[in-house]
Amino acid sequence: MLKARFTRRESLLQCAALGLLRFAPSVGLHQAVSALEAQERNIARKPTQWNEIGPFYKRLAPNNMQLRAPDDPGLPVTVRGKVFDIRGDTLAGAMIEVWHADHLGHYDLDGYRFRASLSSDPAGKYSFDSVMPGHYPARVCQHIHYLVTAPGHKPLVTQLYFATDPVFEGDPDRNYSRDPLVMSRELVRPVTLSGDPKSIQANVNFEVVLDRL
Amino acid sequence: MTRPFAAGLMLVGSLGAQPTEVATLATPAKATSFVLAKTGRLAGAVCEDRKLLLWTLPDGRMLQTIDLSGRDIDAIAISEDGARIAAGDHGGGYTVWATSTGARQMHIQMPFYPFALVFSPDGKRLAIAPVGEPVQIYDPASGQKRLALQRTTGGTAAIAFSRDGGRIATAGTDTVVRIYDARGGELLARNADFLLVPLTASFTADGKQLLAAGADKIIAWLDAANGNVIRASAKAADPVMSLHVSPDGSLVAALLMHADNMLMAGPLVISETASGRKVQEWLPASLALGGGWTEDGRLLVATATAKAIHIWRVR
Repeated sequence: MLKARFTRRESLLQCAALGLLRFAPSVGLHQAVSALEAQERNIARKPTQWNEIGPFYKRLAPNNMQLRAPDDPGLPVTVRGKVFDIRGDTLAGAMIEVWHADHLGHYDLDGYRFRASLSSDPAGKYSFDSVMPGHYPARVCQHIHYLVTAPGHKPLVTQLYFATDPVFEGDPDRNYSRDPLVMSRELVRPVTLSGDPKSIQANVNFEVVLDRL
Repeated sequence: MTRPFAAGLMLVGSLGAQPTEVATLATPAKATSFVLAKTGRLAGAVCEDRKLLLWTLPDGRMLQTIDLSGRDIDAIAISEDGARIAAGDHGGGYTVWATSTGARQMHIQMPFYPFALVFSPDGKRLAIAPVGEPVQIYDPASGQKRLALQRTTGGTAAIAFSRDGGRIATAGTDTVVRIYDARGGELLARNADFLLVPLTASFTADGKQLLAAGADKIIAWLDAANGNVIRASAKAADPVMSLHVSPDGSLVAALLMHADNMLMAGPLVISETASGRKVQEWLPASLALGGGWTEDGRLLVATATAKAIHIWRVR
């Protein structure tokens, strides 16, 4: 049998480059290819969209779900989610590394502020408390970086974005691509506010789906 | 590699001779990236109007204007002899042109845009690091893939060939520096001592050592045979964005980035390779777009204003 020169994804992208595969203007290239791949593989859940790792990943972050100190300025945010595989099964014991800028958009390179290495529980759940990241000057959107790994699965590097980000002007469907690094609308998550006006709190759900190796 | 990851906050006194502007290249729009052939006789730049411009140096004569068809360019590279220039765009398209004619020599489509792009010293191989993907090596004349290196988590922030073209070093976003046989792709050595992402690597002139640096803010001298750290610099105030070893191997230029705002200019620090002693330091008026050592030992660095590229001779 002839050995394929390209992966299925590469061959679809090549078709797109040559005009043999076309998309409606409302559908992004990578979204369309991912959807087509998912359909062909008959999977229950589409793997979470990959997003670049950025220059400030730091290994050996502490296992600590409380990233926010009591006197930290900024809007408190709690992120919760589950880790799934593409069959829709939850993944226990997945390692979830998260890191982000402080409320002013500064990354801690010398220490581990706003960095953590978490593990999903037996039900695949994870959560952490932090502050809403500020806008890093060279990036358009507020974001939290993720690196998720689990045995037997491809490592996932991605970023979480917030629908309330002023950059989206209340319409992330239309405006998510204002940040050229946001390659998929699905990474922009709704924000729910809770608490009272004196101690308001943002809540975000971010489920991640890992592809098989 | 021209993608500006960031730039540097550091109080810089003027140490050593101050650079002089040796060429001013008019541009129709602000330049966003710049490359210089090692011959020092050809320069290329991408501008905000999505044109790729080429000039001969030192006369500053416009050689080519290449329309990029609206594509946003993430990285450009030029061969040492200036015969070819390559660009990787945000849609994952990678193109090589002949600089003498502006003719397209290669175009391939990959899943993602580039972190890094570099020609081998003889210009016959083009190493591409698409974001999140393994480094791949192409023949720029035919567009044929020659090799793919190991898949690593997150991809590769920087690539460097040894002067003889026999080895290739990668600075991984998984924080690991790797050295491969550039012909067969075998992993020869690795270093996993960085905590943060190494953003740059450069072989010494004799190829015996590899200098690597990044968000850890130190420069590490690695034994190229086994990857072990031979020595490390003192911690700088900011991350190191790029390293450039002089042709005779005696000096290393380190461009620092401003970690809190990568769009701000960072200082260029020149040190003796052997001792690490700092001999010159310069803070450009604006972000350094690119440049490097020429084969006759000059260090040229480009900055941009709205309608011009300014080329500074630093050494």
